[in-house]
Amino acid sequence: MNRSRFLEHVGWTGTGIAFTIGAAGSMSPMSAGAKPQSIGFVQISDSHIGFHQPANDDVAATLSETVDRINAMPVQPTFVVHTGDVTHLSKPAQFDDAKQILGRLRAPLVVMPGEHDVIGGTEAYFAAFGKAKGTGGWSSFDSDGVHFISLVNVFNFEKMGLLGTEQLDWLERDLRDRKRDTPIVVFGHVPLYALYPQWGWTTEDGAKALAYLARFDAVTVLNGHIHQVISHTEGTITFHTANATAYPQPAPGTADKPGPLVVPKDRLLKMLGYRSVKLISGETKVDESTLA
Amino acid sequence: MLQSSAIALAMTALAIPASAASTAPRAASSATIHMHDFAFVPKTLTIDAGTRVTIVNDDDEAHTATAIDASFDTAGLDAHETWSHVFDRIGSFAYYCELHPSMKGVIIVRTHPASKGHS
Repeated sequence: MNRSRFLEHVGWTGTGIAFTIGAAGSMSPMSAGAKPQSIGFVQISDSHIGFHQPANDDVAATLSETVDRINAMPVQPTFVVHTGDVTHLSKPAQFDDAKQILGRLRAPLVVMPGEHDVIGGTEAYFAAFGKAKGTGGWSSFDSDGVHFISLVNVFNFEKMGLLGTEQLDWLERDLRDRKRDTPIVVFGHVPLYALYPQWGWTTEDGAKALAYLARFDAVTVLNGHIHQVISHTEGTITFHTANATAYPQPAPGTADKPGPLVVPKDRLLKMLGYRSVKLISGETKVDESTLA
Repeated sequence: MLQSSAIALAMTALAIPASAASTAPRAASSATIHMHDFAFVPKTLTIDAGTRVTIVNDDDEAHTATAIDASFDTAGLDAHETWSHVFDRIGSFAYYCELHPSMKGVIIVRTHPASKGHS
């Protein structure tokens, strides 16, 4: 995908609008409604472009290395999803730098915001990545028999994470008529369950969203925010948080506070990376890759 | 002298140079709030109108100090960055960090002692 095509594509995919949605908002016939076959995609997260601290003095380089490695995959993913905190301080120049790097991805990109992308408001983020039509930024799409949902839980600045009534109502409607054997994949930035509320690693009203998802046979929830891989299962719902491409954070409860963790460079690269996800006939396979 | 004492009291728990607390009447005062270990220190700051408040991020993590009534906003303050603002309006201004909403603070701006009796 060349750069001009990508920039057009970013306008479509911002905040998780599927790349199958055209300018008029109609679904193009990528493979929506097809029988469950197999689909592979890649998750990256927490790039924090603009961060310049000892925990990683060149976050652009580690994001760029991530892009190179994804581009080198022998079978390109159907899409790459970035689960937020693309930038560190929501500055236009940081969004520009991030788009320059992400624009080199061969696969289409789906993006959603983290709290670091909406400091002071959502304008800079939406200017960079566009906004899903008709919603507050959340969206869903179908591909290869899988239903994908992008949630936004960083728009309430006084409580984080929070989905809010409008989004929860939308989610209930989005799921209402779907068959229980439809594989569901949910993206978001802040973990939807109470992973470690003491550090704000939770979504206050996430339980309501999970209640809507609980009736499905297989749900995979992929988040960022905490800069490390932690998996967790509740009923038929499996959660996976992701490594960052920028810097690690301490494991829950192992430090006084969360925040950038300074480690030696060789260890740092083992703590940064991306995740490959394959869904085959409803079964989800997750592989972590580091930059080491 | 009375005024200097009042200003000094307003700066309780702040590392304000002696010279700042002994300025002439109506001279600008200053105060500092630290973002430290994911908290605003001091959590409540009482100042006279006209005081310049500097907010310093001591943490390695970015923070904001965002007024609930939108009267001020540091925007994203990266590690070890500072932000300053002169508070002229009387009132109580609650604020929080957009990135870590459990961080909350209040700045109380009261009438400058030199203004009392002249309004």
